[in-house]
Amino acid sequence: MPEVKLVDVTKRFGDVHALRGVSLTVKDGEYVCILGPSGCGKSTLLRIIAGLLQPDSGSIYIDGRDVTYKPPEERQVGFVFQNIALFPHMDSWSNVTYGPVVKCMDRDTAYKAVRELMVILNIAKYSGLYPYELSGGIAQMIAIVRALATGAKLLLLDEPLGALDPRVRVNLKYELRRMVKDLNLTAIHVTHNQEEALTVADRIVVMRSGIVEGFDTPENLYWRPKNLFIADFIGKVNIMRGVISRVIGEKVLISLTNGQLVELHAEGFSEGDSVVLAIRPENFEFSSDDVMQDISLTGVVARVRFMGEYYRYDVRTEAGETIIVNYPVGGDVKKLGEKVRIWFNPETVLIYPYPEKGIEKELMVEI
Amino acid sequence: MGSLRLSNVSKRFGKVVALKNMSLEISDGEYVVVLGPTGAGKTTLLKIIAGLLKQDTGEIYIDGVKVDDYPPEERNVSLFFQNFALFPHMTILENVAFGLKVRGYDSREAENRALEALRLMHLDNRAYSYPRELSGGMQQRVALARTIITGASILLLDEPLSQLDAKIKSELQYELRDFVKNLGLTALHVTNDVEEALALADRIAIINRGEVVQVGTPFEMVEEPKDVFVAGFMTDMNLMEGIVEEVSTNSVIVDIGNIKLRSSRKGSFRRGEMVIVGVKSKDFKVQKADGELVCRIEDSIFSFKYRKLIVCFDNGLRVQVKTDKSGLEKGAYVSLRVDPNDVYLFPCPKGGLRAAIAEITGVS
Repeated sequence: MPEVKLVDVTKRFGDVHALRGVSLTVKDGEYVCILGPSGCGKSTLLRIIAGLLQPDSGSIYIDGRDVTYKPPEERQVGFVFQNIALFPHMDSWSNVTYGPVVKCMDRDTAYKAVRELMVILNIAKYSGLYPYELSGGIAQMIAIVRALATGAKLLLLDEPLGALDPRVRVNLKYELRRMVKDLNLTAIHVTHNQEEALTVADRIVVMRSGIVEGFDTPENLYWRPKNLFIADFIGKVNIMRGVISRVIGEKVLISLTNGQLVELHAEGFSEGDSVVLAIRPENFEFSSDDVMQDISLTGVVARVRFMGEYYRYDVRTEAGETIIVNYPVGGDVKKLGEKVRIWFNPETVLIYPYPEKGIEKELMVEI
Repeated sequence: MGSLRLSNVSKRFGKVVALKNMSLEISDGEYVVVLGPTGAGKTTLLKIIAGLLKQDTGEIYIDGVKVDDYPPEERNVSLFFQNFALFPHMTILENVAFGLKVRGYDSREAENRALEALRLMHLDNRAYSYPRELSGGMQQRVALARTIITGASILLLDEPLSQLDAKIKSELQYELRDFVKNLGLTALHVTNDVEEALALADRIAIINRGEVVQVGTPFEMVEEPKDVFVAGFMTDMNLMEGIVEEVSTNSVIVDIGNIKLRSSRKGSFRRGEMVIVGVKSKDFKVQKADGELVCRIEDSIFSFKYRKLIVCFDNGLRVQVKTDKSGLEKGAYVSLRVDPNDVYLFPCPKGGLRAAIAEITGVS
């Protein structure tokens, strides 16, 4: 049940800054995901925690002990890779007991612990099977048990579901979370998949080009993201530009580039500030002509896709913007070319200062 | 100019049956996605159509012409390989334009077209980079650009978006469809990702163990799945074993270990028959515990605008419920409701429900 603390960790590979001063604390018993686009430094960070890589500067503490210069085997961590690496010539039981045997641990105690682990995870029945006889999902569970077999309480997972079929992934991520919680482990799980991170983690570290952009709960990252990059990275947002035309107590009046005025709760803005409004596709509604909303946009449906539980509409507005609207299946279905009026509840709008480097750069995932 | 028809195509590798009497028809200009788990036979299917593998039995027709004896280059198809390979010594632009130049386009025209395809892939700013300077996802997009502008009328795409970051993929998939449609091409696209299939396809074909299970529009596949496999693959349906207790003209009552659900969906079932009951997580409505369908909230998981509740009934049955209601805490008791129209009934699969679910999810 360890706590992991990183202080100002940096790492360079030649000219590439993989980590630029990362500090964070993962609490005892917490399930944390490190989420970011490829090349953001997330795997490097995990390898540094495991001791497979050395940082250029900064320190790593596990349970308060400085382990920065300790080798992996003195850190009590279990590491699981994307490419399920089981020994092909050994059955599951030999695979999972390999660690305790090599480490010359007391056989009875170690075997008993491993057997219990396999029973809890409901995979004891695969003990006698070889890796080629197992499905990808089961093989990864065996790999996880092997990582924990020597008594590690800190589980480090590098894209553990990456090599599996999407349907298998959905199932296994819930199993993973339940396992970590039932066994009182601390888990740090690296992924590039937003949905995976949001549904499995207690808190998520969002990384981009070696920097921690945010570290928060899924709810806060989704409903109250602290910058425009996170808002867009965690689910999609539609972006509208505007200028603060008046500040009225805790509210601001914004004049949008399409000419409309919107009143919102927002703090820290002054008259004349350039701002960006971000609205999630699922927070738009269609309105009928007889109900007038304060804020509504008219446009034409330019694309319709049925996405299972919702329809995704691309609405081309009169001002020439494209707004994406995700609307639950069940209501009226809009047709291609149909004229529609859409509106949004001001409570669901996210507001940010206009980014200095421009919107496109601010949202970029590939550098 | 790009219709495709497979008639009873079979292929075995030793003892393994890769394709079993597969028939599939794709009209000119149609975008069809073949969806199925790993090992279903998806890649074999594409290789046979492309002419890289020969089927054991059955015929393949392109534009009404039997092409079984045609070499790959005469089939009017362009194949995107899962393990694509870019020329390392050529720039991105040269890589994409290469096929066109080989086919005799002049170099200016070829490069203009290549740039257009790169623009679609949001890579026009990297046209003069070399493959090694690009991430895996970017390289995959280059290979995809190269595939779609070869001038062939039929695109065969083997997991073309599998290496992209989720963020980039979620937008690119819609644009890819538009691009293919605007060029009037026919596409047969293979994947195991349901969202990708929904975003791209005119029709989806689900295959399993070398056989076509169901073909239909995305809407039909989600709303009218014909069996447990399709339902489990396309949706997040809760699947439960039940016994038909009462059959009346418009509805059927099913008993799931003392939990009764009424279904008014079509289908003929007999009293006493074992069936699989399916309810999508969004179709359960949560309300205050009132004595009927009472269950306890075991876990509450973030699901974007919603929360996914794992609830457990007295008889041990566990289901997932999607709700936008707030304030539903772990440990609380609630009641569920479901519209009889949203209660699906399927015949019980031969090996039982557990085996069927294991086939879809890989975990039993």
